Amino acid sequence: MGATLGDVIQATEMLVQSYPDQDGRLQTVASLALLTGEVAKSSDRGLMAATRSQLGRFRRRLVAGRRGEDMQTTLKVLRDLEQRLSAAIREEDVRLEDGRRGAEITDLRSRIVAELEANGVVRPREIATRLNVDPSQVSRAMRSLVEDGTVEPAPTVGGVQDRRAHFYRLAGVPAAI
Amino acid sequence: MGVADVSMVRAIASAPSWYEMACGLLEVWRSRDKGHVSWRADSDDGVYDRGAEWRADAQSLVERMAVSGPSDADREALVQMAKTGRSPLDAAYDLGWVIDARFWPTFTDSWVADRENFILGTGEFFPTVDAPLELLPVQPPTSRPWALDPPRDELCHVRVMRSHPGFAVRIDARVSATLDSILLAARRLVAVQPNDSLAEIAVPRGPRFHGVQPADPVRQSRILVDICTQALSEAEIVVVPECAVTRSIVTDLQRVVDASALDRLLVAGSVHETVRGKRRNVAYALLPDEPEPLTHDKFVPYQSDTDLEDIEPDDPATITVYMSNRCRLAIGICKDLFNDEAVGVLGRVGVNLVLVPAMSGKTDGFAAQLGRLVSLAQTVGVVANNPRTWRDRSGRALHPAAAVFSQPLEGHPMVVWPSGSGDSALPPGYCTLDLGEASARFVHRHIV
Repeated sequence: MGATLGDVIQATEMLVQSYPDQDGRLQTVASLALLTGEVAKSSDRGLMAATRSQLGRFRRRLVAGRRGEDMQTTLKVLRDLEQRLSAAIREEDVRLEDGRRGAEITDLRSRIVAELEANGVVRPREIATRLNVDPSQVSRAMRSLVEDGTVEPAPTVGGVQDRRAHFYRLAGVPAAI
Repeated sequence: MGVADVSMVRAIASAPSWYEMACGLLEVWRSRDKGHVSWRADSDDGVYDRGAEWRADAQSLVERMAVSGPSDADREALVQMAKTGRSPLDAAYDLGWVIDARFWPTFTDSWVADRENFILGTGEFFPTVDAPLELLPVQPPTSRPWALDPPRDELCHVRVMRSHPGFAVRIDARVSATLDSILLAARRLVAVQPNDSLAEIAVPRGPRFHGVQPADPVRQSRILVDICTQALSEAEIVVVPECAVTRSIVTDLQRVVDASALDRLLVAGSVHETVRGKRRNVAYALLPDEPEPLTHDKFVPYQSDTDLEDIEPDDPATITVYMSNRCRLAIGICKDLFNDEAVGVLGRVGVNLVLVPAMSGKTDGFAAQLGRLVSLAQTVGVVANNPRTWRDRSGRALHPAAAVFSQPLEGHPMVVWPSGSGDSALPPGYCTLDLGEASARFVHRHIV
């Protein structure tokens, strides 16, 4: 079982309550650091954001309480934990975005195959125009289709090679021209 | 090396973050001779295909780089890539796009790293975000903002601030972490309607009036504490209407927010008050244990044939955009939302949540303006209106909507009235918008 937001709230409440007791405080900060580490590894974007926010909230409560001269160390630890979560959140956001783009490429591959089935030999530029997507996305998807043997480069229509442009067709299927 | 080569290499080699690298590359592109033709516009098939191939290579390269920021090895690899087979201007532009596409979720943090509260200057680059709707358990949004407004001299997530003579835009990222937690988790939003009739509101008579407030502040506090306590247990974001509170009630509502174990945002309506010698209509947005509430000064006063709301807005007015890494929040008060330039600014800056306390006998215009924001920035919007019953000049009862919601998944704004009909008094209550189900309902509270 991974850490939950309830665990974080409980640990931060203990931190506030244990403040006058230095041993208790150190113990609570240590357990909060462990929890934060677990949350940062969880890949749960919402939990990370909520945990970071809770840490900030309790840091503000400590400041408002103005308890003790040695509070600076605790506050610094809390800020460091928040920054650690911020970095994990950025990583997770980029990972989510990578996943979204990956899903788009997968979808694009099948749309390219459908275009090639319908039209035989086609240039990537024509596919990009027809599907209304960026040509570089078509290039990437086409590369992966060539690598897995679904698609192959083709001589141009009528057998005349255009050395400047690339043409593709489904592998093993003669162009229907 | 030409000037463009040197500029491009400098933009890559000196940038401390991905955001600054994207901005530097965009700057190189923007400095071009306007007669420059990029490969995208080139009619030569070979040039066009090679451009696409180059960009695909650049995407593969960038996908292997770390989110935390460019290393020296990354910079070196990108410089080599940029110098290969392209004009420096095209390389700068395309590399900017490729970096934007992968690293845009890190841009806002980088942008506000050294400054949390500042005025966005004309001509300044700023990052925008895709609305975080993919986190909702529903269908994906129809279109991302930049797809609706394709940037030419910008990147998908890096825009240039235009000149807006009527408005200064203040960026406030001081509560970024709290907002990030609330706004990304938000599934339900509530608009509160505490009053049935104008008799419950003390409205000074015109022609210039100021000091509208609840007629019985003690009773009003009891009503709002009850409704907001219940609403905050169900929803992440709650909006109380314009002039439905006093400063004392705002303090009562801050205690309600502080008592919530989870992160919540409560726009505690607005207050007619005098701030530093100026008559204002100020909205207060409360966050848990946050000593300084977020505020907004109304900049468009109410005006009729005979009456004028006597407030003294700054000139130019300031729109504050409260920013988290993935969300942009703005508050408006009632007629503010009818200012077209303001709505244009909010859309341009990419505000994806707008919360509007209102006190109006007519609500049809809100839906149109919220709809415009949906198309500009996929904005989720909440207008909370009060009281339920108004009178026209002949004394006939009018029942404007209690809430107007916009949400980009359905596209069209949703207008909600209290359940119950006729002119008999109804108890106070609140409207809830469920973003996941794209549905709204009104709940009455029977308060002793």
